[in-house]
Amino acid sequence: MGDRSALLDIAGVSKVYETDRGGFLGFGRRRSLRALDGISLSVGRGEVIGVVGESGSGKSTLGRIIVGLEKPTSGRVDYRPSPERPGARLGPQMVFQNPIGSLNRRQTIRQILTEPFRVHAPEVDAERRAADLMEEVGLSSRFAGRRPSEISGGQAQRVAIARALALQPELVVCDEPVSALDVSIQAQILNLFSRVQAQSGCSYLFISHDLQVVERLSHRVAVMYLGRIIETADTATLFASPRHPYLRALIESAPVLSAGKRRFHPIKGEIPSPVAPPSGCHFHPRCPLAMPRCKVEKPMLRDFGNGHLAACHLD
Amino acid sequence: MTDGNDQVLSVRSLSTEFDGEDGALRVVDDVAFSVGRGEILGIVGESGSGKSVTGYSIMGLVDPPGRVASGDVVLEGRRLDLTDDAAMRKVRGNAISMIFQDPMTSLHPLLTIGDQMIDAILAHRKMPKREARSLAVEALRKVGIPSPEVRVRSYPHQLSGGMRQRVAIAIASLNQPALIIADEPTTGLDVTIQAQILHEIQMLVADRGMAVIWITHDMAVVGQLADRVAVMYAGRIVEEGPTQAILDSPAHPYTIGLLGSLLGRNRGKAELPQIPGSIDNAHRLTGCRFAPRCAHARAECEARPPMVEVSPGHHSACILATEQADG
Repeated sequence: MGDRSALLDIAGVSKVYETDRGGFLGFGRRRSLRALDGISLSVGRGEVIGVVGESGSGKSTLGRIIVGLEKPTSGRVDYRPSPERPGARLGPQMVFQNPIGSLNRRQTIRQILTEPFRVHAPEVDAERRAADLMEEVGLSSRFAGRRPSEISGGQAQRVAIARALALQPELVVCDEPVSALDVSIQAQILNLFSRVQAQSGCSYLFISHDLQVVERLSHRVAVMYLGRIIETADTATLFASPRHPYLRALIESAPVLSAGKRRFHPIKGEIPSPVAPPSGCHFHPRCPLAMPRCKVEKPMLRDFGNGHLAACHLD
Repeated sequence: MTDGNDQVLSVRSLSTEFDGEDGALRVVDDVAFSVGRGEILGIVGESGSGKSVTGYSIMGLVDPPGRVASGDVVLEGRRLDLTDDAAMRKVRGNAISMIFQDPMTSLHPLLTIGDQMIDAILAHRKMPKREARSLAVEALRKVGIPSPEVRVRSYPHQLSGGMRQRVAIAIASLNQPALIIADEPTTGLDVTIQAQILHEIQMLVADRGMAVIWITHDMAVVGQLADRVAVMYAGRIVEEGPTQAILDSPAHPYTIGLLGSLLGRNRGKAELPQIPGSIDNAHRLTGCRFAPRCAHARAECEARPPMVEVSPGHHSACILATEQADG
């Protein structure tokens, strides 16, 4: 990797958290939690990258590092917005999972949406731009005077998206933005994400545990497991010919509509704790195809053609 | 539908109201369904559909300002008085048990899971404690908990989310209930763990022949787990029938819209079909509550549409179904 023309270039990023001392009266050993372990990823201009993973995969930590809410322990994050774009001097923006919790509950929708302009672009007509934003995300102007507690989850997520878009960022990090919404509202918000991207040409890093959501929006997908990217490819290739046994299990486990009644054949075991990840390949204790080598040797990402990378010792 | 002998639970005219500032709100409005032995009934709905309150009502767990306003609930031939707390206490955890979305809300944080399981057994049955403990270990083994004789001494916080939900299922099945009501039990879990839980439930049903009511918002889970599905909207069942019929030929415009908006059905389509509007204020309507969002709505929808059979065992509460039935 290390693409100099990319909008975002992440190289070898790791994040280690030191946990509190455990044990009796806190005299136990201090343990470290490696949330991210050597992540490299790039996002092109106008590209939508999906990041999929279960609990403990580090996908949210990755998003928080990209927008600057966390600092990486090691590695490099280069964000290179186009200088001619209006939002160039600001960093990437973020849309969070819990729409109501991520809005200031004491502010009205109008205040929330005019604030970015008041702080960063005092020369523009903030009221006018806020009204335009509301229209863009499909919010009726009658909501302008309401507070986050007086609107529904779907409406609040529209506000959060409008706020993220206010200063026309070139990259928006979306962390599980539809998983708290009802199915019929999810469709409305996913349509909104597609439309906004097509109109503004911005890039998304779209984080989700839901394969179908990621498949729908992304050009390229990275699959994470316990702090590592274990497979990445363009979306069609990844879902048509998954290589890593974990990704295969993930696709297999997800219920599919109208497949009819079926027996579930789950993969065994729990997702291990990132405080004490298994040696070698993190997935080996649960892997049906594990070999002795997988226990000791960490598989590196290998190219299987056309940028389809997978970290597995199997051929 | 199941025949009379095999019927575990029958619910007729169940209504539950919550008192609010502008009068009582019917969050469950004249709901009827039944579940048979060895059958899994999926109750599907979005926020505000009343699916969870339906479950709580049958358990007699509706607290003020809510109250069960009416309801004829028969469990294995015995009529339940949902408002008689002392009587329901003998039923809960015994003939019917419930699994909740967050197992931490139903597990005591300061007791080992073994002690909680022994309490649950001894609350309904007389036996030596040692015997109860071995039943508990056996129940944990049945739901796939590794080394159950060790785990039985764990506290809830020492287990992962998936393990806690297995413990909740083990507790729910301890007293061989005729019916388990599961309220979004896999919603917070990762898909690989969800698949494990769904597998355990299928094994329990196959093994013991108990009836299950599976309450969820997830059509895909219901499609692969349930024998029959009831779809709820704004407090009412709008459509009910065999799973295959509901998924393949839905009759109610709400079910059609809900299924049509799912991602799995729209691969490659630029725009996802969406149901316009929201559920706001639908509970105040006396007629069809979906009418304000429905493309087929007309004057007749001002009256509540009755449940009409559209194909064998498949019912829909919609003017379209009524017209079809009338020829």
